[in-house]
Amino acid sequence: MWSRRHVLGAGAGLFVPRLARPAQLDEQVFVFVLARGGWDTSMVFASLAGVSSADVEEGQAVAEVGDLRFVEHADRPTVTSFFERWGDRAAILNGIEVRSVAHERCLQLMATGGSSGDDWATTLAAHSALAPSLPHLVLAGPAYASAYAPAVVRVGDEGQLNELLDGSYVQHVGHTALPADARAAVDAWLADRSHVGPRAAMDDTLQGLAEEVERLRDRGDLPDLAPTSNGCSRDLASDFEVAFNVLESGLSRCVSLQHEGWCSRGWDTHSNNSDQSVHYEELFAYLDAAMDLLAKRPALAERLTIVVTSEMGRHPTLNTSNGRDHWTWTSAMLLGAGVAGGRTVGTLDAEAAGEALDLVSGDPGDTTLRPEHLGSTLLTLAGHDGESMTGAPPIEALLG
Amino acid sequence: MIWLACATPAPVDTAVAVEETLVPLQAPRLARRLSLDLRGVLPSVDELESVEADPSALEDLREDWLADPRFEDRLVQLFQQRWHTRVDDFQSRSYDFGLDESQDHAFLRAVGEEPLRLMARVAMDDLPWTETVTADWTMVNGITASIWPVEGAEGADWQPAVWSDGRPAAGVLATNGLWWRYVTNSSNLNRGRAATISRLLLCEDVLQRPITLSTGSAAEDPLRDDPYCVGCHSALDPLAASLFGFYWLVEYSPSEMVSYHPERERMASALLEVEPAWYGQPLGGLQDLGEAVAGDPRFVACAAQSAAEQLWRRPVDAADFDRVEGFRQAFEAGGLLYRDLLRAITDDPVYRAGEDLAGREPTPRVLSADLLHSVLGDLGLDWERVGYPLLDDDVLGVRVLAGGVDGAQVFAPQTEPGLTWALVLEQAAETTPVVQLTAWDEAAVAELAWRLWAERPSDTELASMRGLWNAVEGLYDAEVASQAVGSALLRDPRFGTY
Repeated sequence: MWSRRHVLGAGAGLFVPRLARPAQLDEQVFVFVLARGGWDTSMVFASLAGVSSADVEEGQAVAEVGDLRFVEHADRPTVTSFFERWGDRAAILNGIEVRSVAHERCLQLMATGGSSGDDWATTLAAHSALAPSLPHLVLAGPAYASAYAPAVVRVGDEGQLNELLDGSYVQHVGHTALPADARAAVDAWLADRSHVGPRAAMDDTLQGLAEEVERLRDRGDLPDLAPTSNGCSRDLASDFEVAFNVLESGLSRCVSLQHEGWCSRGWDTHSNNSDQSVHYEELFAYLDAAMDLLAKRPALAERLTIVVTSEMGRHPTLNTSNGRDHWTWTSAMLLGAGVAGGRTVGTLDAEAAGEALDLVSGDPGDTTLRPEHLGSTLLTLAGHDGESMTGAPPIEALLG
Repeated sequence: MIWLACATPAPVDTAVAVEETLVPLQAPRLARRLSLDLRGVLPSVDELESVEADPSALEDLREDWLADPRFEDRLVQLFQQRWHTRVDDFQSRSYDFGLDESQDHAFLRAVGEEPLRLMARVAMDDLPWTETVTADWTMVNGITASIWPVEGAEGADWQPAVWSDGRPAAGVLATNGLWWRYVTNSSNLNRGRAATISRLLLCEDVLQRPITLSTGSAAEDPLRDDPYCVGCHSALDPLAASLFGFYWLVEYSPSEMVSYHPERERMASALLEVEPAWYGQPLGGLQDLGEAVAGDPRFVACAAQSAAEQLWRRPVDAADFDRVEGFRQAFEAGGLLYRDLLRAITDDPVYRAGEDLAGREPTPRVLSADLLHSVLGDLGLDWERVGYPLLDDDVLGVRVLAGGVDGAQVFAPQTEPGLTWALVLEQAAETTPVVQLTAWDEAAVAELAWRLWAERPSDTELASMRGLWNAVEGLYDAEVASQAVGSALLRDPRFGTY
């Protein structure tokens, strides 16, 4: 039977071989969770109690688990429970200055540190020593890519990637894909470019992609990527399970998820800011379940970091619709491996702006936190030179 | 993976003039690129042969393609890459207007394409580009004509129509499609829309300017007294003030969204506390806004820059300044006809290059979703489910997976192949009926390869292809062998790139 590998094995010396996979299964992997729309950091991460002009939610209090400070409230028992259970593995980072109040701009800034370039997840994925087949798997939400664009693999709103791989996609439109051995013959014909002339760079690129596709089909262990519903929105528990599966099996280095708020009502609460409370409860319930799931996979837990962000914060004062408008200062939360858990780094000052930090100690200092400090930290945590890759030093206080 | 090697570009000697290192495409391949960029389909065999025999024939062909009805459709694809109005969700959907569910995709595109179609029609009809912001007409099709307050439209096709709800003449600035995509709310008060106008029509993205907020501003009214805020708001707020005819008192309300509300124009004074103005020049309303945009020199320069970016498939930078300025001058010299602008860009060596020996941004690019949709559709691909054309949709389809722009998560077309792009092409190649032979026919396959690649296959290659045919026919039959050879031709790098 025809086989591209057979043809290549016969000495297609023009083909550039795929990088060998080193046996480096302990590589750091990541799940990125985006709370899309802009979260109210004052409900969980950074109290506004010291901001004289702020509208502080009634009934909230600052709680501590070790050195980790968070905001608790009777309406958010899941948040409190989460930190009580997992606080020693969590680090909160407050006072990140995004430098914009426009959603699309803030999303890009938080993810990349600038107005172009690759996001942290894509950069991490592209620098994987394992050359995974689906380097940065995007289950939902945006991804920003430039130099490493091919590292981004989207699964489709309904998990179309599965159907494309198994051939069922074309069946839905009344067609029949080529039988496997006929496709192998085509693959082999495409791989052997000797009849065309000198190989071009694009020949090699497409050949490499065809090899990845074949490898994925041969493995046959890609989980079902189609989203499931929790009744009124995307079920993040299912997404976490998919993410853990692909990370555990070495298919990906980074997976991106998105939380759109309870019942997909969005975090962008220009009115009825109390909706944030419900969104947080759901998000932390998902995170709690994810940590439980991870606890059953100790090998993965040893090398997995979960990064939870939102593109902006919300204004310290309520508007006339009982909502909060956009704010340039936000927070992030890191969970899991490589993180100096059980601590909160950074705070808001009396004007609800981030206090400058000493990046090494996490104490007050002279560095205003920016998204690129977060990116540098993640890259450093993964063993890369985060400072040279982002132009910003890492927040060493967060590194475990 | 192989792409990792591509991620580090070779060092560039910027002292070397671009023209000195560019290697022009062969005439048939250039014809292919032009045909794809100007009308979204491959050249015919006759067209390729005319260029092969006489490369200068390309100039006449380009004129034909600029007059091709498909030029308008292609412009819509190109404009979408920047305007992002062809999204898969609006605050109102087809069911709000009593349309059948199977019409939902068509409804979304009818709304989202409105401003793009208006610009494309201005180009198609050789109207001055300023008409895009001053026109007293819009573009509708059968769906939008049936649900929007317009007059003068008949039938299902795209056509000009005039508004009957008293909205001012302001071209795209008066379209529902633009403002359904770029919505506002009671906090934002049209400021985001004003920023959109600045970004899309002047190429000045005020949102790129870094800002910082704190509650400690000494100013009583920061938007007017705090320098951080004033820098943008002094320009944006008066611009936003001219858009209140599109201000919806209730969000997610179809009746609010379909109509212009002239009586709300005066709300700006109360809500924004400024009067409409264009960078200090008072405006009487939306119509004045369109005229102010049309008279701003940045508007023409931005059109030139945007067109270059769309055809180069990369952002322009400072090094491109002289070249883009040349395009602008050619555009103005002819009376702001968009075809003149495209002629200038496609005459330029950067556009016509096959590769750059200096290792600068490579010119070849992949056929992303929009072109796969139009090219493969022209070749007979019929991927559609319940009214959704799958290469132009993300709910059931694969637009983004095939490198397309959805305007919500992905904002620029893919220029390099990725895994899902390769998968989509593989599946599409296997189901596009380009080869339907009952027996091997070398001449027919050679002609098809020529059509698909704009490059003639060698005898060696044809012999190799015959080997593929024989192998698959031996396993199955001529039908599967046809499918296999068709797949090989379409997955060949010469088809997937241009």
